Parts: sequence; C-alpha cells; structure tokens
Amino acid sequence: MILKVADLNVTFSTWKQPVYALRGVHFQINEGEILAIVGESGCGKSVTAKAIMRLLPKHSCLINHGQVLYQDRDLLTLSERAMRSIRGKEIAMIFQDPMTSLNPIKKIGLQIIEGLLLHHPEMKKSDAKNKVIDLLRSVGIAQPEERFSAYPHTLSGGMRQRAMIALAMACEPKILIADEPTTALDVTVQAQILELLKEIAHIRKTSILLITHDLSVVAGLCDRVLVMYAGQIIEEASVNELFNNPRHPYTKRLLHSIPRIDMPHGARLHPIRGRPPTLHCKSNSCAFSPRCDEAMNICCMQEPDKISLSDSHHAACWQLCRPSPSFAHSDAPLIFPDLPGKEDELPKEKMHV
Amino acid sequence: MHEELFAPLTKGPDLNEEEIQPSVSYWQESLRRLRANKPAMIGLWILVFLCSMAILGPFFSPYAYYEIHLPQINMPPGQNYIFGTDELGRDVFTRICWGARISLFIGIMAALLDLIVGVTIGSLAGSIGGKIDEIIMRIADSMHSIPYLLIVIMLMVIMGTGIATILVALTITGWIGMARIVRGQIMQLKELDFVKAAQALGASKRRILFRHLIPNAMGPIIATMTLTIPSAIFTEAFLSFLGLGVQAPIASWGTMANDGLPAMRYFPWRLFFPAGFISITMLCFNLLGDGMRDAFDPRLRS
Amino acid sequence: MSKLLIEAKDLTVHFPIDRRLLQAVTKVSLQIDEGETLGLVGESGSGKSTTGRSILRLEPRATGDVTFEGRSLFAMNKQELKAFRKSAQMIFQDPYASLNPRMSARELIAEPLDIHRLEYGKAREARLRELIELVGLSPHHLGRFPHEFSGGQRQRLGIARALAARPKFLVCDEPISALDVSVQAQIINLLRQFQEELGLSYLFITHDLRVVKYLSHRVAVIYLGHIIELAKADELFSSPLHPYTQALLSAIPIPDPILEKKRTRIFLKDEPPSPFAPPPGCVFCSRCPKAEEICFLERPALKILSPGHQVACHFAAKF
Repeated sequence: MILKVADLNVTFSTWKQPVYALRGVHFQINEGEILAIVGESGCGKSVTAKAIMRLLPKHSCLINHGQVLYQDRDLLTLSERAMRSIRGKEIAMIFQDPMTSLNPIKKIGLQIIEGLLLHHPEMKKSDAKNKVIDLLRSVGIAQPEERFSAYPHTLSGGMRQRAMIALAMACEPKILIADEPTTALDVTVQAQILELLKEIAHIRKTSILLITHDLSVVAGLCDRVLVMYAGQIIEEASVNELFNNPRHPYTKRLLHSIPRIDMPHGARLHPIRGRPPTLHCKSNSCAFSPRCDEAMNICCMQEPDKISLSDSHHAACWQLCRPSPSFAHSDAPLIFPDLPGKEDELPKEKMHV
Repeated sequence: MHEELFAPLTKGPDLNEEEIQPSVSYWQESLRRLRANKPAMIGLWILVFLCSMAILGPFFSPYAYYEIHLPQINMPPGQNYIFGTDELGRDVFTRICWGARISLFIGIMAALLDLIVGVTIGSLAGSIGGKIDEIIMRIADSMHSIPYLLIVIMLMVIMGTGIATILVALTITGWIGMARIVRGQIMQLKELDFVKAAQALGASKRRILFRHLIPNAMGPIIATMTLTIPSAIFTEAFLSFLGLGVQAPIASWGTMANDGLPAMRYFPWRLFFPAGFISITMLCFNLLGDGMRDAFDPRLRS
Repeated sequence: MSKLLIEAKDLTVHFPIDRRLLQAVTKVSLQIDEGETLGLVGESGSGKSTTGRSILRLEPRATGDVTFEGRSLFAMNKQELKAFRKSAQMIFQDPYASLNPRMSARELIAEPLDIHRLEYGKAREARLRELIELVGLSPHHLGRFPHEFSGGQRQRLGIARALAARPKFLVCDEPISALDVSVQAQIINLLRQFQEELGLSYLFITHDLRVVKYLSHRVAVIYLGHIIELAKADELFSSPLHPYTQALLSAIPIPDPILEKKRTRIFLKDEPPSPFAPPPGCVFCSRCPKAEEICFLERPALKILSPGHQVACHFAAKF
C-alpha cells in the first residue's frame, strides 16, 4: 500500500450554491498496480486526482475533511513547500491536453531538464541532458537528440503526450496520476500510449492512477477499478470482477450503454435515462436512485453503506443487503453481507470476437 | 418493517431532468452580475445623481449661469452661493450644473457616434474580410497615427470652435478603437459553430451579421462605449482648457478649470469644483464600464 | 433497390496556406441512398469534416461535383442552393458552440422556419411543440436559453433545429464526441428512431468506430483526405481488407478484460505525414506494416474486391 485516501470531502463554493464535489472518498493504491477511477463528467474523478496533488484552487475550494496518507504523512496537512518536494518527485501527474500542459515557448528538452534539476539541484547540466535524451528514447520518441530541441507545437499529439510522460517520469516518481491521458488522441495513438503506460507500471514498478471515462480503456490496462458517481465511489473491484460481475446498478447500466465493436449491426444501445445530479445538496439518499430501475424505498431514505462482496469487490447499494424472508420481522441490523443480489435482467447480446 | 424498506420504489422517480428555476436570458444574467458589482453600482448612482444635477440644478438655482454679480466676485462657498462665485460673480454651482450638461452631452453623443460609425466599419471589415478588411485597417492605422490635436486645430480652422467641432473631431479619431474591437470580435465569432450552423440553415450574410454576430459582440461593444464617455469628457475639458473648445460665457468644466487655474492659490474652489467634478465623473464611468465589461464577459460565467 | 439520394464525385478541397497547399480532401466519391446511413470514419486530420461540409456546399474551396436528387449542387444559383438547404442539414460536434447563446430554444428551432419562410402563427407554434417533443424535451423548454441545458439536451436542440424544415438528408459531424457515454447512447437511439420514422439519410462522421456500427449501413474509411476502404458495416468489421482499417480495428479497446489480454495489436510506425506534402505513392505507405516498393511509387485506386466492398490497396486481395 503506497497511498491511502481516507474519507475525503471536497466542497466548491460557487456563485449560486456550494458544490459537494467529493463526499467521503476512501481508497488505496498499491505498489506497482494500475488503478482506474472511472466515471462520467462531473462525478469527481479529476477533483480526486487534484486533491491528492493539492492542485485545487485555494480560494473557491475547501477540503473540509479527510486524509491523503503517503509514506505515513498526510499530504493535506503539509506546507506548500513540503508539497512541492513531493510533486514531480514522488507523485507526478499527466493531463489530458498536452498542448496546454506543455509550455509552448520552451523547448521540450529544456522543460524536462527544468523539472529534473528542481528536484536534483546537485546534478550537472550535461548529465541531466543525457538523462533526458535517454528518457525521451524510453518513451518511444524517435530521434531523441533532435527532438530535445523541438518546440511542442512541432510535435504531433501522440508525441507531445509521450513528452509529457517523459517529463512526469524524469524524477522516477512512485505514483503517476494520469488524468484522461488519451481522450484527446486518435485511437491508434491511444493504443500506443496505453501500451507505454503498461510498460511503465510493469517495468519500473510505478503505480498508476488512471482517471478516465472510457471503460473500454480500463479493461485492457488496469488491475483494479473504482467507479465514481456524484462524488462517491459506488463500486470497487478487480478488473475481471467488475466486467464479469458488476453489482452496482450504475455500473451495470454503464457497461450496457457503451458501444462495442463486437456487437452485431442492428443491436440497440441501452442508455441510462436522466442525467447526473448537480451536487448542490447533500441529501440523505442514494445519489443514483432517481435514475435507478431497481430503486427501493430505502434508497430514498438513507445513503447505502459499502458492502463487501469479496476481499477486493465492494459496492455501495441497498440491493446487496436485501434481507431474505426469514429475517423480515427480526430486529437484526440491516446490513447483511454476502447475500446474493438481484439477477441482471438486461438481455445479453454478446458475440464473441 | 424491513420488508417495507426494501420494497421497490412506488413513486415515480424524479429524473433530474428538470431544474425548476426561472428561465433567465443572457441579458438578465449579465444585469444581475452588474448589480452585484458594488463599485460599478456606486459609480452608477453617482452618475444618476450627476444627471439629475445637470437637468434639475439650473431650475432650482436662483441664478442663471451667465448672471454677473460684480459686488460678490470670488466669494468662497457659503450661504448664498453653495460653491462660491468666480471672477465675474457668477454662481459656480449653476455653472457646474451647466457644465455637467455639456460634459454629459458630449460624452454620450461621442459614444453614440462611436457606436454607429465604429460598429458599422468594424463589422464590415470583420465579416467581409479579405481586401476590404485590409483597406479599412490600413486607413485606420494611418488615421490613428495623426495627432489628435492636429485634427482638432484643422477642424477649428474650417468649422470654428464649439461643441459641434469637438464632436466631429472625437468621432473622426474615436471610431478606430471601436472598429478594431468589433472587427476582432466578429472575426472570432465567425469561426464558431453556431455561425456555421446558421450558414448551413441557409441564412443570408445579412441575417448572420445582424442576428448572430453583432448581438454576441454587444458585450465588448457596450463596455467600450461606456469607457469612451470619460475619455470624451476629458478631451472636451482638455480642449476647453486649452481654449480650443467652447467659448465664454458658456460654462464647460474645462473652461471653468482654465479660468480657475491662475486663481488657484487665493480662490481654490474655482479650480477645485470643476476639476473635482471632471475627476469624479470620469471615475464613475470607468467603474461602470469595467463592471459592464466583467458582467457581459461570458468567460467569467461559472 | 433504394433510390440514390446524394452523390459526391471526385470532391477535392485544397487550401492554400501561406505558400503551401494543404490537401485536405482528394478525389473523394461517395453515394448515399434514401433511408441509408453512410458512416465516414477517420482520425483527426483525415478530412472527414471537410468532406461533410463540402457535400453540403459549405466549403467554398471545394471542387468536383455533388448531385442531390439528380441535380448538381455546383451548378445551382443562390436561390436554388437556399432551397436545397431545406432538404439537407447538419448537426455539429460541440453542443456548447453550435447554439447561439443569445437566442432562446424557441428562436433557435424556429430559425430555419424564419429563413425559409415556412409556417407562421398557430401552425408554427404547433410545429415547434412537435419538434421539441420529438427530440425528447418538453414545450416549457422552449423559453429557455442554451446555458440552462446540459450537453445532451443542447444536442437535442441542435437536432430539432436541423429537422425543422423537414430535410431528407443530415450530415452528422461527430454529434456525440463531446457527450458523456451514457448520453451518447440516448442521442444515437434518437437518430436511429428518426431514420426509421422519417426516412432520413445520414452521413455520419466520426472518429469512433465503435459508434459507427450502431448507426451505419455502410462505412467509408478516410485517411489523409483519401477514401481507402468502403464496405457494408458488418463486413468492414468482420473482414477489413486495408491495413489501416485493420490497425484501426485492432487499436480499439473492448470492455472485456479477458478478450483484451488475448488480442494482438497492430502498431503503426511513425506518425501521419503532413497534409501539405503527402507521399507520392499510397498515402498510407510510410506507416503501413505491409508496405512494399510499389506502394511508395504508385497510388492505388479504389477497386471493387467483392460486391459492395472497395479497397484502395495494391495488395488487398492477398490479405
């Protein structure tokens, strides 16, 4: 276990009303694993990443509760100076749009050197340059000696993203946070970047926290998955468990609504009706209940607790603690783990590739 | 008891589709943001006060602006004369009110002319583009490089002194700034999808310009207009101060300042009031203009 | 046999930029029948959006020809072109930029009715209600402004606007790329519904092959301004013949971790060449894993390899 997020709560104060962006987020990242946080826009996945890196805007945003434990230190309580020695060196981040994340008026090589020397001021410039050229080569940029002196706008989208990965990996961080790293890229380039990320995790044993809305990307790359909805983690599982046995209704509906190339022509898509909540109020009900076909009365009265279905599979849904008839009139507590949930009743149209 | 809790939801689920808020147009929301901007509102109210002073002041004053009272020259502010008198015994307060009329009139007229000429030329240049745009911009550049004072003096020779001359001079040089802003806005807006959508629908160029481009450029246009006014007011005051603007006995803040300057040491109120009013008016328009620019800027929308 | 609705012949769009020529689209020919959807798939810079605009004659630099119901668009005058716009419309990618923020939903949807002087008074009100309900919104939404709607709802408004003048043909330029996944499905279903109920034809432009399958009958793959493969949707996915299409399909992730681990991916070399100076031979030769000498020298033409399946490759028959 290398990073642990405990009960993280983040609130944004806006023009109209406060936005409860994160409500009680708990998870941990293990060494060398690729963990994905998946969700639609507005679910809080980017906010989580930025909260870990302490990159949220100070004046409009309040982390009103929670801890981010890294090497026995709570990152949320560190001074800005101490945090700066962590950013880039221990925990690095890459973003969605490499064009706006790289300085357009500085050569690529120099940008990476800048990052390197910041954390290793004792390094000689020539050593640093050699290291950067090696780094560029290792992320798959051809002719790294020439590319060292290139400006970002002369590179294609894929190469810029590789440069950004090189920048992030320069100080050999333990954790790499990738916030939608391939969303803006063409699909052929996306495949290459994902392959690169896989290499980084397996060969260098860097943990990767992948933030994405694309479940398909997650299937091929990640070890574990967290599904977020309305600022909370509603399901957590290993990648096989999530795709083969999703338990939360949102996860199930999400998996059914994504288009797949292994479906026959004429197959229908099953969208999730309605749209995500606006996060303006802290209600005492399950955030997904308005859109859920399996909603029960209790779903509107109380927020579901996290139920453990196995060591690695947890989901927050009242369906999972539906009592069997023999307990109907007892005073036993409501939580019954390990009870079977409702069978998935949506038609299976799988066609094997 | 448990059975009931776990029974399927009976009432129809709220789909989160509806947001039960009153519909608010872009203008309404911008006005609301403006109202929340305290400095801008303070500026606005002071300006409203000034306007009423300009309109109503002379009616309530027992004196006319040209009325000379030789026994009471250079009197400090007191009971009979709220702001004192000048070197000819004229009531400074009444003259300030008349000066307000002139300043505000010139300011607003200059802004309106700016609007008409600047927006027309700017939108032509921006929407047609190509050679016409080049020609217009080169004309603008050349005119911009001619010193303003030179133009005023030339016009004075042709037209004589007075408000009309000042307005013509202001318009000739003032349209450039507005035209550039409008042109920039329109060139930016032209690339947006909703303009392409209008083209795809079959809208004529004229329709696109008037229904899509100009309304969306209104924010910066209004903000620019509001900032043109203090500039025009100051220019008039400056010209009158130099003797190139309105002539005696017409009371303009600039002429009053000009008259008051030599007497500054002994009769400071004669300079203080006109200069003070010029400054406050300009400040208020600037605050209001800044506020409007912020209110109409869609990028600041949450 | 369906009737041919719209046909593009040798569409070419070259932009002179500075002193160089950007060859966005080169000799693209497409046919779309009534009630049919042709998917046009390509990555960024492939020229697919430019093709879509050129087909509707929204691209002034386009040359070649486009015929609609037998009449050539390039030979039409201003009035005829305006009348054509009633029958052929477009929906755009960015739901946030494609609606004029100053106009209410009512004004937005009514704009085509204004432009073409269709329906006034009570008939117009009824038509507006009909349209807004058709796209799954309700009449009280008509008084609202774009910023009060979500991305998916704005896209619905855009569709309502496009349908107002009762077109026969829609160019859908990446209509769902900017939307959340669960909302994408809603819009795709909506478009399908309209095709079935109103008999519309679509040119569905996208970079996402996953989506194309749900909506298209036939699919064309475009690379650097050239169509390199054209086939029925099922066939393109089950037996792609062009190396680029094969690489594209192999790159697409599938939401099934077991299948993903078993797959072998085809990785392409280098990066796409600059559209200012495409290679003299096949446009794909610099990245093609199966390229041979002739690929660098001679550009392959689109050849029919089996009924309804065309490929532009020297060695397609072998693969």
